[in-house]
Amino acid sequence: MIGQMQALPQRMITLKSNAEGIVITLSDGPWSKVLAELALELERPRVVELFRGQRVRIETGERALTPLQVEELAWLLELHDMKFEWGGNGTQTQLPGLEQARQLLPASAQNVAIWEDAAMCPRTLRSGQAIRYAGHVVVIGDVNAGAEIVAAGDVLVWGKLRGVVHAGASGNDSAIVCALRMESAQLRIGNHIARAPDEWKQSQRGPEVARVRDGRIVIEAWNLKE
Amino acid sequence: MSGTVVTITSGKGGVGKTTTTANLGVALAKRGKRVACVDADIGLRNLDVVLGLENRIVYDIVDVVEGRARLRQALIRDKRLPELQMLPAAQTRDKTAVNPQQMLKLADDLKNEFDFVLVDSPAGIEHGFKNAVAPADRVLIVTTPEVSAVRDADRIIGMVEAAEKPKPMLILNRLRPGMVKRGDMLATEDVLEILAIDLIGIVPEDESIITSTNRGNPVAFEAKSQAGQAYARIAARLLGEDVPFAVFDDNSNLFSRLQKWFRSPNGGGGA
Repeated sequence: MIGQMQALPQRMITLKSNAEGIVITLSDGPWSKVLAELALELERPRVVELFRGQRVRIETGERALTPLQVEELAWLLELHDMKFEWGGNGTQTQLPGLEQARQLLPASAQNVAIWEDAAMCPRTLRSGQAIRYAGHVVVIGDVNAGAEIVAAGDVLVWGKLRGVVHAGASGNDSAIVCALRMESAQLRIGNHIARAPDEWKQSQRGPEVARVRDGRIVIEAWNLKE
Repeated sequence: MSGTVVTITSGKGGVGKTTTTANLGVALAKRGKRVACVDADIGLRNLDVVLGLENRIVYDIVDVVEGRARLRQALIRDKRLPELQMLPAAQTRDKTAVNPQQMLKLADDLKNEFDFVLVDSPAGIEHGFKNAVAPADRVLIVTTPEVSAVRDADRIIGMVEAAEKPKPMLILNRLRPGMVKRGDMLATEDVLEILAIDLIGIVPEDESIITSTNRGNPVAFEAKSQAGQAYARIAARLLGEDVPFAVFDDNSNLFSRLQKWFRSPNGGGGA
């Protein structure tokens, strides 16, 4: 191993800017990695600056996307307020749009997605800081009041949760939110919103999990035996 | 040799950034350090008033940046302490008159002449804040024990971290020990628990701050003032000294003194 350089990891996506707008080309690497890299790129301030008000075109090359993948991609871009169009593989193959993709999914699967992939934030999220991710989000630290997490999947906070969290943000009501201390003023799961009672007791409660039961968000003790 | 740039900022307005800058400047100068206080609040100039140097302003920071004046011409020497000098803000311009690169250059020039360059940041998170933080070697966050001020401080700490500055330190300003004791005010521990940064000083609420600010005579000049002593301790900690944190007792009014007297069997301060 001596003297041997580690190979650079292969880029999963490329971003290019031309006269017509921005072109995002997706490689045929593992989907979760493609999505993760795109999510990361879209969070970079310079990219946000570059993308503002621009048209975005997606090139998928040889890769064929499943309707679920299309939806994930659409969701991720919508989250960043981007107008996008599908470019296909250069031969003008039309990929299904978001609505069509939803229709293609079996009804039972529409709100269920198994995310292979999670974003990990190894520090405290402070006021004004936000994570938007098309998967699960894990925070090792606190989520302070004024911070925001929007995730397509579950949100796990290994610390105090005081900011706003939206789990299952693409409409997945089966998503959950867990925290060592649940002190959030407001929780959102799928299409549901719950707010803390106005007289909120700051008692020493243990770890808790929030989920949707019978159309309402309920908070229960985080019971691992369940 | 090169000095240290210390930026004093808060996010929220009115928590005491300018008063802190002026008093730390005085406290450090009293320790024999050469100090330059820079007012980065362009358009809302205040530091000169608090330091009592308003009537001596000829040139300001924008004049220096735009080359109309040399740094030496714009710096105002304090009338009481020769080690202390101030670079005033421009009052007729706004924050966009200076950019972060110009602040870096200015701070570099000042570092050659001074041991400490204290930058008084404007409130907010926009251009003016970015100017003030750009040259910082150290950042001090000022907050009062109020939920809204702490929330803004948290936001600012996140932005200072994002600017890849060293971890900021906290000054807890206007603490009222009596109110904390009654549970009516956030305690020091509550604030530190939320912000998770190191404390560099606690300044108790002190009415003399208001009169001294109005007169342009910072409390750090007064050896007897509780707040003045607090600033002296912060200055010592900035110089790397290990100064224990004082425990403030609310014996500011006769009633609480009497209460204490009745509670204590010996009639003295007791434990």
